[in-house]
Amino acid sequence: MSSDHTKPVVPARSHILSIQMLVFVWVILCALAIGNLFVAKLHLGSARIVAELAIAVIMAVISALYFMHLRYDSLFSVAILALTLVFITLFISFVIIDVKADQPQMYSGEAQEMVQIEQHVAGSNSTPPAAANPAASAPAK
Amino acid sequence: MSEAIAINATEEQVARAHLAHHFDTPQQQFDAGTLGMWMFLATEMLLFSGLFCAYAVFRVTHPAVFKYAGQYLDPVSGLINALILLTSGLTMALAVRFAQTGKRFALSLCLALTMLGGVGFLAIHAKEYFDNGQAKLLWGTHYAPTVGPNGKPVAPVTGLIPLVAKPKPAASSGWQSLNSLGKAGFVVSHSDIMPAPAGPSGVAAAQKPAAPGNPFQPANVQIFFGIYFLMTGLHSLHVIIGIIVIGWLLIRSFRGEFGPGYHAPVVYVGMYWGVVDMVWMFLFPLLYLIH
Repeated sequence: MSSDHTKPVVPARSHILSIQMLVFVWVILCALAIGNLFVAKLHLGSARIVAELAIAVIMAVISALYFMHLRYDSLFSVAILALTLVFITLFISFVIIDVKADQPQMYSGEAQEMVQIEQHVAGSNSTPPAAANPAASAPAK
Repeated sequence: MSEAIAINATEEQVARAHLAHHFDTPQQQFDAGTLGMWMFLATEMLLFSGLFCAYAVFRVTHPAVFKYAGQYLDPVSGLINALILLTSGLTMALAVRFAQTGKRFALSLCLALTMLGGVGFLAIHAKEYFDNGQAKLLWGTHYAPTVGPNGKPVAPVTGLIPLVAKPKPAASSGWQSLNSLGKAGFVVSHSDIMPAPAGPSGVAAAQKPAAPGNPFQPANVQIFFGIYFLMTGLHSLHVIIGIIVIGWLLIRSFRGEFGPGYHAPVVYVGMYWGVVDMVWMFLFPLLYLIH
């Protein structure tokens, strides 16, 4: 505890958001969460996960800016968060690039298996998925 | 949107009482605390990023597993949980505001509502976990589903399906020790990840079992449930910790400890709860909206 009782002490100030603003942000976030469910129902192919994650990123940014008061915080706090997200993106991206580069050798079977499952479900192919992996027919040494 | 709050002599005394000796002013102490909290939250995000990375690797390497197993999770349940957490995020942000403005009853009410939201989230999640447990939709060797993704019962797969052709164990190779572990120790037979062709074990035939009664189930579905329980479990642990800490704030707010002169703990816990919300914003589409 402070020992100098002669100096005046001014309490710390932090930014105060209005109730209307907080409720408005909450409505936007709820609408985006519900919107994500509808985006998932669209036939966007591989772009769907990108759209879903883009909505999640927008929600996270809005939540950080207002619910966590980042918009009114110091630039250094913003830099900590931004650098963390940059490094997470780099981390996951490089791992995925590496895994995709090695995939033909490491995981030769399942991508073809998925195609066969989908074809079979669609009624275009009656080959059971067990035969999908070309390595399955290779003799064991 | 900023509001000027009148600070009276009592609040000055409160601020003085909470000023640690190594800080010059309450503002300096508050800013240092905020900075420390952001750094802590950055480490939290990095902790979760490891699991998101594992998720990404498994999803890239086992697309069929995620497409199949994702059908077992109910998107509406995930959405309800998201809305509950967002609402508790709102009540927490309101609690911060009421602490800053000295509205003590409203502060206590909002903290209690935030705790209630966390408990509601956990209750829905517990029901999901229970249903998964009943249907044996679990991780590793515990995965033996009794229902298909369409909800219809399927013949349960008990134990492990033997390999079509076991890799030949080479002398003092890693496979020898793995084989010695038996079926409880290592799920070799469910894996379609082969030993490297140039490795000591030579080429092995990959196992592609079709579960009885469920012929189009891909191999390794247990991977999805492993990552599902790990990610949602770690998140739920954070929710539990958040509820405990908010409970501590609630007790302090009943004692009238927070007001314009001192409200830093409420602000810091509000930031933590924001990250708990944020993680679910990503878990919801990645786990519940796959199909």
